[in-house]
Amino acid sequence: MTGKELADLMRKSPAECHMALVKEYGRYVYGIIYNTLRSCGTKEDIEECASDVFADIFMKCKIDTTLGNDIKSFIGTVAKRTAIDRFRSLSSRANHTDDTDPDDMQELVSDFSVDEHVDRNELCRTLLDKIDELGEPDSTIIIQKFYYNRNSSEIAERLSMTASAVRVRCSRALEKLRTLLIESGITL
Amino acid sequence: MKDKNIFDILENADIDSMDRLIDKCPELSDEELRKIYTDSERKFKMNEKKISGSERTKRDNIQITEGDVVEGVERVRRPSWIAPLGMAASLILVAGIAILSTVIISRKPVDEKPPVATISTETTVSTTSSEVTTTQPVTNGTYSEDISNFVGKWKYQISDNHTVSVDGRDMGIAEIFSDGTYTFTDNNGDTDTGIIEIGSEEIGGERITTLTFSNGNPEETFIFFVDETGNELRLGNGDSARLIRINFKDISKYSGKWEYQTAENGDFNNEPAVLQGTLEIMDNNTYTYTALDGTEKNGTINIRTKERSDALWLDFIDSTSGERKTFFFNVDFQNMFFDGEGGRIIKVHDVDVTSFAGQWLYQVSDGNDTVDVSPKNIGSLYINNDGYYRYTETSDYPAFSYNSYIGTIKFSTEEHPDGSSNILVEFWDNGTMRFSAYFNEDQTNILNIGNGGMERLIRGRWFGGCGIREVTGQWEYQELESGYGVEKYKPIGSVTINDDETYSYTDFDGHVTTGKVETSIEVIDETELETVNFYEDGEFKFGGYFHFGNEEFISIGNGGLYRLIRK
Repeated sequence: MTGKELADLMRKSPAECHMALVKEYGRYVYGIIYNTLRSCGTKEDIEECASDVFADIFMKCKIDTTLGNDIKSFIGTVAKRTAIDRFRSLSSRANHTDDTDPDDMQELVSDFSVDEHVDRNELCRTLLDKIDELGEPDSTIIIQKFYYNRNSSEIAERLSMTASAVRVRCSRALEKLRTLLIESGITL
Repeated sequence: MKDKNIFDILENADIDSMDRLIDKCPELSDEELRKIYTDSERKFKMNEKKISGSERTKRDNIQITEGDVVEGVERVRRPSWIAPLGMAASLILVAGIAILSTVIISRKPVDEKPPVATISTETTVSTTSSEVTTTQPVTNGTYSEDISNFVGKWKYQISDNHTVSVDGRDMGIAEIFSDGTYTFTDNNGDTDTGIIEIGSEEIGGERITTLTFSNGNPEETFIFFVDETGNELRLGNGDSARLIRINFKDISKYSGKWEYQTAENGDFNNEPAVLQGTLEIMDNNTYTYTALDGTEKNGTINIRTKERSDALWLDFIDSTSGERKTFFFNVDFQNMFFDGEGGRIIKVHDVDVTSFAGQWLYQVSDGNDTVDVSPKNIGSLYINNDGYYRYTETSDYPAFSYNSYIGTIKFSTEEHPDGSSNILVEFWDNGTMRFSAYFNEDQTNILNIGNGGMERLIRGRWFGGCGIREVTGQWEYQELESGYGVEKYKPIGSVTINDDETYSYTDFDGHVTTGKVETSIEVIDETELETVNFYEDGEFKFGGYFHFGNEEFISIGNGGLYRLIRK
């Protein structure tokens, strides 16, 4: 959506403009927030944060529709910053959801044995590269299953596959990924 | 678990990596998009109201410079309890000392000695959570002036027109901590923190304990008077605002029948719940659990709370083995308790489904105001006496797709942190809950969807359908004899509609049919049509449309072949 399209839509009907914004950028905003709140927020927290983002954007549109043509960047920035605010808020709430045993947490962290000097972003990119090497639909299945925590049925529905096919592909893809990562010097 | 954890490295990824992850983000369902949209719209409306007026520019701190660089999106939000508190405080000033000297609430005198505040003077709110024992309500009026007597959550209420005990409206929740600090969270989720000082005032010869809430701004310092029970804190003598203690440990909140269910991976949103047994919680803190094979277990229940936590724990302690099983409750899952091991207990309801039967409209706000002020009809819903429903979306809201659902309704409870609860009417379709609505006993013809005032279901007849009184009387049943320009009808029977919603139809052969008649609303392309439907033994017999402005005529069906003409 361009700035002009946005301004035209706002003039025509603010409500329709809001719907269009959510429809076009909902997934984008959700993805950004998910990236920040994945470890500390629930699905409801993420949706709540997404609605905060859009409420702010609606307000911005009401006051000033001269957003230029890079609306996506603007929305992305608002989403990122709102997510960081929410992350701080959620993190500061002690025992917000459950009293997880600290020992368990330690165990989870210690599962990684990657070289501590490897740059985190580099590692992140490498991991994504290796996932991409799996090809489609395996790379999507792996990301949606283990990063977005979607179950096989949900993934299957969205990829027009059966749940059992997703499970089989996922299991094989995971093994393949493990091999690819080991070949790259990343030990799981 | 180990396999999953490698993906944690992807969290807080750099921009490039994040874009790649977003590319693989699952598409959001219509339901998810709709929820985000309605919540956003609600918040937007609230923000609009907040910043309207002179503060508008000042309070909007999303700043875009020429290069479309976002300068900041954080905004300082002021909790909404300040305004009503200010209003209530001004009442005290107007009333003056003379009224203050009157005994506000009858009470037994407390210690005559000057009170000693036992609070910390720290202004920083600690985030450490420690388990505390909630002080039981004091009922003899002789509590010591110690902050521990007030630790816990309190519901803040204000009155608009009368007194708070008559029409008190919930405005938020205040939590008092053992370190003498407090947090107030209003209904919008905005918070205010500060310290509490305990003091006293001598009024009418009585010394009354006071709690002074201060957030550091002298203009926002408010004095609450403690009543004789210790469970209510009143702001001034105007009886227009108060804090009421919420006793989460009151077992009666949880007494009744529950079901114990499990899901394979504990994901009740996506996996079928499997019934394992039933549970009955009694008012005397005891329980009986009956497994599906009939095995019974009995024991006692211990309720635990924590400061600065929305969670609540129920410990079920078996009286024979001493085995303890704990379920926790959290605001994120308000209608049930979870055991953290893939199980949950969920309250069982005995709600009369027939009370929901009938024709309903699904309305949303048209974007100009809340749905009660400016509604837009987007769908029609019919609920049968057996709980079977049929929902058809007739408008393109929210422009995602037209939806049509068929299924049955179920009921659940949504528990709130303040101890109150709502019954939710859930509309299920093949194992998927399509939407849910709040049931309000005081307003049974409206089911609100969400709490933002943006969507609702409204019963057709109540909404303004023609109503039985409009159609009561004698009617002639006519059939089209000829058409093509000059429509000519001939009588084929007569209908009598009574104001007790019954009718009798007599055809020309003298056969009589009797049954119930129902008036409601049908929505077609956002147009409401007032329907009159005739039933025999619960089965639809015939039906038609009533026309305001031409009340002498009911068209039967859509083809114009039959009609009723008032005699």
